[in-house]
Amino acid sequence: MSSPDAITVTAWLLRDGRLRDAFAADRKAMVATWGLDPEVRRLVEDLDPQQLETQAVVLLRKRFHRVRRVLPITTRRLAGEAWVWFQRYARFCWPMDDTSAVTDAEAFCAFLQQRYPAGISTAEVNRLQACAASCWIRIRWAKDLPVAKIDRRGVQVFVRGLRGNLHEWWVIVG
Amino acid sequence: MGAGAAAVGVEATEMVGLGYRRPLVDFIKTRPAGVECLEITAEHFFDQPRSTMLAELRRDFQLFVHGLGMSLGTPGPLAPPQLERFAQVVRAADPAWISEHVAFTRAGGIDLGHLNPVPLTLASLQVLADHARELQDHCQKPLLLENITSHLRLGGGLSEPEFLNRLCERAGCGLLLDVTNLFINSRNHGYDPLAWLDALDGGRVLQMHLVGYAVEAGRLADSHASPVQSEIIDLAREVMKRGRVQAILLERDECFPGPTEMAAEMAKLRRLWAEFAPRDEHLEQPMR
Repeated sequence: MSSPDAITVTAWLLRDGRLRDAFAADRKAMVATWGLDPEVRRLVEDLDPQQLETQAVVLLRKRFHRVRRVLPITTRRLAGEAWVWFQRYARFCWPMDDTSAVTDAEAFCAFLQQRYPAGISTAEVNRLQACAASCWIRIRWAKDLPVAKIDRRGVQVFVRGLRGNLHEWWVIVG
Repeated sequence: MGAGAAAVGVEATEMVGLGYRRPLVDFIKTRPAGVECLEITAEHFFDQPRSTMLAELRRDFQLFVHGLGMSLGTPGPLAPPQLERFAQVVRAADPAWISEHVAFTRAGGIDLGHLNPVPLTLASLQVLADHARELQDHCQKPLLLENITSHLRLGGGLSEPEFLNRLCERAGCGLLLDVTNLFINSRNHGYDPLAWLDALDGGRVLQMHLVGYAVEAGRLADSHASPVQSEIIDLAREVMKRGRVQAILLERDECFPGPTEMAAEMAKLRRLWAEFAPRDEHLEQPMR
């Protein structure tokens, strides 16, 4: 098996905040564990940890903008803390197989559910899960359906059309 | 025809245009003065390469096809499905040329979703040159390669202008010089953009991208959301002094202004042409 090239190692560092932290703490020790060819080793050892972090933040920002479009209500609830919360999640979690905004948003909501459940819009999470599911019909309870800027309790009904597009209806109960 | 254009086999065009974006559709439909060409993003048409809209754009404008995700800098083969989808868009759009980036977006099974720099090594240069030739051959169109903005600098022994010169020679391609990216990198990394331009083979630069930059946390950022600042125009002027640019595109992606301000932005680009290429009025129609 060939040793990793410089591009692959750079990608590892850009996607993983823990790896960047360890790299910043002791570059040579980290690089020694990767079995790199001498030229690649020199290139990687010369990477500036601060520049890596700044570039990584650019990538996180792109993910944040995509996720924000999928979770407008949740990000509004988080208000000025939305970007801070997203970095806490995204710095250490990078979707590997499915890089869609929906997958990223689902994972972000799962992260918030553990740490700050009040920040999540249940209605939005239900919608995300319906998008990702393959079933034709899905019914979910929500406590925060936005009706005239007031959160109302009710039932969300999702129906997948013949062309795969998702339709949504609400039954408000309180 | 400029020497650079001859080297990559394109006809001289001398056009001004903008990047095609959905929020600009209404503005584009008015056929505003100063918009002679459009640059479409290949990936935006992957699901509908033979769309009616693309056919209409091709009928009304000179098109260029710009890729974002081919990841030409990644070692290993280009992804065949992505290559074919790119080619399908190119066949539908029939652009004067295609373009991609001196960058990577994917590596080691990871899709970073954004353009990242490559090391300036001979090995990296060969990977890019091979992929550039493959893309040109598959699409049967001349290719321009674009410089990116990056907070991360990778070493490798070559300077960036030298790397680009050698890359264009090996790949038989031209350059799309993003003037804003050059300005941003020069300020963030502390070098002289004019010295950078002096070291570059200016004859290879056939197209420029211009857009306004932003300032975030004390550093410049390519937000693609601001009007073009005068210092960007000044740097673009220096590019044009050194070569024979054929097309100047406004690359606005966010915070789209109204039609009056968009027209004013296009006027900035047209004034650049007026300084270097006095236009005959009866030749206003683009060469197709």
